[in-house]
Amino acid sequence: MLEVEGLKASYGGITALHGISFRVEAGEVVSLIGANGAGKTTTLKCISGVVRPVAGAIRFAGRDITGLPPHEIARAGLMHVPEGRRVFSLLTVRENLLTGGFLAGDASAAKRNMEKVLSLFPVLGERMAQLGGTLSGGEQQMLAIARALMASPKLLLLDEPSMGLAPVLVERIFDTIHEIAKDGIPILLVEQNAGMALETSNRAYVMERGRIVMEGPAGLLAADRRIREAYLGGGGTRG
Amino acid sequence: MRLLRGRVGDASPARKRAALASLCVAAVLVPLVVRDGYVIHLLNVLGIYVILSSGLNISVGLAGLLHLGYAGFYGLGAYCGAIISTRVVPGSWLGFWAGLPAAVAIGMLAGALVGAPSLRLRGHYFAIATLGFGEIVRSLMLNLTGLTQGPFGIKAIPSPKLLALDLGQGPRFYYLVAAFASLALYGIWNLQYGRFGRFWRAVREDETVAQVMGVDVFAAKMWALMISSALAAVAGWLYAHYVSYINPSNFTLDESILVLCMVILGGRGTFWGPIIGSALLVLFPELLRPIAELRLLVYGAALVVLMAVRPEGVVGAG
Repeated sequence: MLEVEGLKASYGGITALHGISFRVEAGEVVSLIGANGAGKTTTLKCISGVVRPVAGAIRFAGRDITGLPPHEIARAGLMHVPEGRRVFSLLTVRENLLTGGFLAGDASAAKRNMEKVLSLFPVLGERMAQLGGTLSGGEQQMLAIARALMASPKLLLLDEPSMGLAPVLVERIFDTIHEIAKDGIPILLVEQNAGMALETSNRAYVMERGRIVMEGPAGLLAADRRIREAYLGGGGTRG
Repeated sequence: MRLLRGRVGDASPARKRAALASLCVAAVLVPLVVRDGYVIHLLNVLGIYVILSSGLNISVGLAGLLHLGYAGFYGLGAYCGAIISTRVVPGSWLGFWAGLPAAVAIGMLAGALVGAPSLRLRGHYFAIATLGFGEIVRSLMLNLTGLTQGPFGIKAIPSPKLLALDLGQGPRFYYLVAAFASLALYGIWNLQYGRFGRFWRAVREDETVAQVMGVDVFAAKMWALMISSALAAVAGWLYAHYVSYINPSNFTLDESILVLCMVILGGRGTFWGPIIGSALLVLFPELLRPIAELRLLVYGAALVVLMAVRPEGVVGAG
């Protein structure tokens, strides 16, 4: 589905990614975990075209998308839900959803998607005429995910969906991720909340300072002593 | 005031339509009630500024592009219309109408020329490019003397005609301007509340997210600029045939700033904002005429107070 090979990226001479390789297969939830500054967000930005990689190749559904402009990557079905929610705050909830909806194909597909996302997030249905910026943090995160789902994505990139949310909302967001995955949409998930991420994923990659240092089935990684110590609060520094 | 809060979601579509319909009815009735030629003249000027400010609002308010050279596009349309009426098709009623498609075309072309290099870059490049464009147009008007008569301007521009009917007389020009303003507003209404408007506002709110949602940001901005520019040129074309004499000093940076003020005072990004801003800045100075020399002082103070009390504009919502 998504194959990344030897991806390198840098910001003004400082290398952020030192040639990483990974893949996401159809129907999988894959997470990238790691501490702040490990390069997780940069990886997603390279995939969605927001950051231009220095080297490497990104293939999506058999097509080379390396270096394509972001809107073309989105039109190919790869939807990026960026870190920090970033809903359009002066657009209503409905308008926010419709910005995603135009990629659904036609009006009837957009309407079907609208029904689907509103049944996934009923609270948004009650807020349709409200401006996006007036929603609570949790609702904004739901809106950001719903907006991407409106486009009938073939792959979803989720960047820190749990960031800054109350624990009960974090649970709620991860439940939703489960449901989306059950619907057959593959997800590449970037999280600092490694515990929740590993619980939700099939496989995971661990990143450190721009490199992938470990990979494997999520269950095995969650049981690994080093991972527990470094990322799951089993002593040492928490990422 | 509630009815006029133009922000989407505030009023129901039916209510918004009702507001628009009542405005149209009022516009048609005005000359039947008002017989004063001076008031009609003010309304004619207002109509031209409504086209200008609503047009500029597409770039500034919806797409979030700080446009500082709008008078350049306004002037291009005016000179284009004037040259066609006085030189290319002189002495015929067709001269006036031939200027319309020419003005639209030249406005869009100029918009594309300014946008092509400057809209690809983020930051203040666009503001600087439009500022420069306004000055280039003014300098062309002054120096292409063979075409523009330089600082002397173009005189004796015939008044608009339809066959033998002189549209420049009394309330007829009012109806002509009202027709074009309504047409422009109708188009803008549909753009603003349709898919284009949504894309423009998405781009204004967060360019990166708009991109990853599949919006071609460059194309969206380019369309905003070209439509804005075409509307400015149409306003210029009407203006030239209304006042019958134009010269480069009509199209300076001051004029760009005036139209920008209308958009910002009224409420940028709203449908009603530019209309109300135009009414304020065209009519208010006239109301102050009795106090003669204190006029500009009061005018300036009123603008400062308005911006301090409602920084989002009269009808803007945050």
